[in-house]
Amino acid sequence: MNLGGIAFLSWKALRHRPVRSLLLVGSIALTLYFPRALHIFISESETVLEDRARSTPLLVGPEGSSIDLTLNSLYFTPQELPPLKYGAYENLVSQGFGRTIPLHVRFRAGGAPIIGTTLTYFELRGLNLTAGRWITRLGDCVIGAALAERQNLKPGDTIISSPENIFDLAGVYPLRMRITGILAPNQTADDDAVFVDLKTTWIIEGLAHGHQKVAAPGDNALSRESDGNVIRANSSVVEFNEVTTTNIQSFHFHGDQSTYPLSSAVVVPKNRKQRALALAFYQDEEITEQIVIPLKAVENLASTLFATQRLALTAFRLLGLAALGLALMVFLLSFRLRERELRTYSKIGATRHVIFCLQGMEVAVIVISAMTLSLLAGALTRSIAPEMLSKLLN
Amino acid sequence: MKPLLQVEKVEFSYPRSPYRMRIEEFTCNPGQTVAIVGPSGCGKTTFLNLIAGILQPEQGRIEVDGVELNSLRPTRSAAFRLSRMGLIFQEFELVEHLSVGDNILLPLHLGLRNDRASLESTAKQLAEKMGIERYWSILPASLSHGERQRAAICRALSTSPTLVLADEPTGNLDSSNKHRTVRLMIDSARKNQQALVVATHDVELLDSFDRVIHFEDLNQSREPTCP
Repeated sequence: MNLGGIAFLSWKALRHRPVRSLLLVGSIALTLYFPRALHIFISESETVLEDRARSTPLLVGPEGSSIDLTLNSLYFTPQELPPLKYGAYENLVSQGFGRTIPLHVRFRAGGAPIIGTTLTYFELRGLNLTAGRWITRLGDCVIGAALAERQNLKPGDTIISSPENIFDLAGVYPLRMRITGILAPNQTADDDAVFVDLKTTWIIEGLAHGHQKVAAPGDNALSRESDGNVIRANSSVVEFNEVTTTNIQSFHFHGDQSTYPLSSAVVVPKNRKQRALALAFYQDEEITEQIVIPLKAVENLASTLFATQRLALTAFRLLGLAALGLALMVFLLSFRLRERELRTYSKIGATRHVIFCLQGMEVAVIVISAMTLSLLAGALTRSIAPEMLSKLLN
Repeated sequence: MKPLLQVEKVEFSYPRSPYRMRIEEFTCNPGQTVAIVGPSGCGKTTFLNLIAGILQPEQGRIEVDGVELNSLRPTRSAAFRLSRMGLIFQEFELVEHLSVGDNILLPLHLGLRNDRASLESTAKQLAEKMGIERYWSILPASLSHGERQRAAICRALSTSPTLVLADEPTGNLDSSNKHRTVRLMIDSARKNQQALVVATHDVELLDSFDRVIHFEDLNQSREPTCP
């Protein structure tokens, strides 16, 4: 038997009908690829989720879904959660369960979440700057590497917070923030976020504002009497859209600060005892906040994902069987259509074995090409999965 | 001289058909050329298929070059056909997705263990003689009927077979190409001591053959003769 000749004849037959051959390769490759891609995504998401959850020992937040709280605090997903009052945070700090880091995750700028926090957050995540300097005052921000690259931003540039709803005229006031530094990439949600001081987020909330200086002559907001010598001043509230060296002194907060909103607080106990105490503290029924172990929340989420994966895999397997059945039928029909050609081979002197090998070779070329394509697509998916997941989670 | 092809007491019928064939004796010597004539459907093609081993007789003996074909297993019979016989079919039987050259070299692709270079050289010489060498790399679909038939003849002769079986080889050729093609087959048979059996109903060409046999004289069956 001349295997080279058989391979040559098979290749010629496949090349003669390129559309049919490519459709077969494509459909078999997709049939093989989908379950594989799903598996890659689920396992990668578990890894991505767990990595971040491991570095976040405990979370305190408002009552509700522990998964939503975890996703919002760790991956800055835009969940609609009730606020954690600043007073509750102060109460947590006073308990001395370890380091506490406040998080405010509500607003967005340039398509990225604005995270109001303290410098301790950067220590917790091991974040460093690749350019510029840290936040030094209200209205300053440092941004993630991916956001900087995507928007071509550098220290000294500015970024404006987005209104939550363009039809809500009384809603939050856009704030122009000064970028002071760019964070080194760490392949997490931090790469695509804007970090500001907690108070800056309260300015965006509209909880802080400035007043105009009455002595400033020529200000249009001040009304003058008709003779021009008398200035009738009022203490009208001005919403500055940028914090500058000239207006920073005029910013002040009104109202009870203990009612100011946060999203959650990260608690980093120094030891097991502090951790146990923190967990026990939030068992009290009178306390309206909840404490969450992010790793457990993520494990719960992963188990839900695995259950979904099992269901999807079953569906993919059934679809795969149907697709393979169709491919088999296409092969059989194709061989039936080429009966005359195969009979010619037989008449000239090809044995049944040679003809069987010829058909087998064609099927093998298609299946091997499809498997190769599926493996390549799988490898590509594995390489881009973390980035895609990071984008999906944000 | 021992005949290269010997057919003795061969009987054949198709399932669920009243057609029967019974050949008492038929022989063909090396270098001899035989034309079998008869009306369409009388069984000439069936007879050639029996000699080639494509069909199996119910009874009798077919011997080619000392090998009793109907005693061989199908695999051996096919291998024998590939290496020792050249077949020219009524409908050319060229493979549409192979170039003319690859069609001519088809026995090599299907497992013929000849030296590729010498077979290719023989095939190219034949193609040149047949006037189709310029079509070597193109697909048969762009050839005329006559050119396709000549390519099929090249395929049959390129392996230097001991027995050439041709079923209406000139059916699609014009008068000048008919004579040229038959001359080439006959010259090849005489030069290489091949036995040439041609089924035809083209009376123009019969003078060129050593023997001319009317198939109805060959078939001894009293049953209806048309399959």
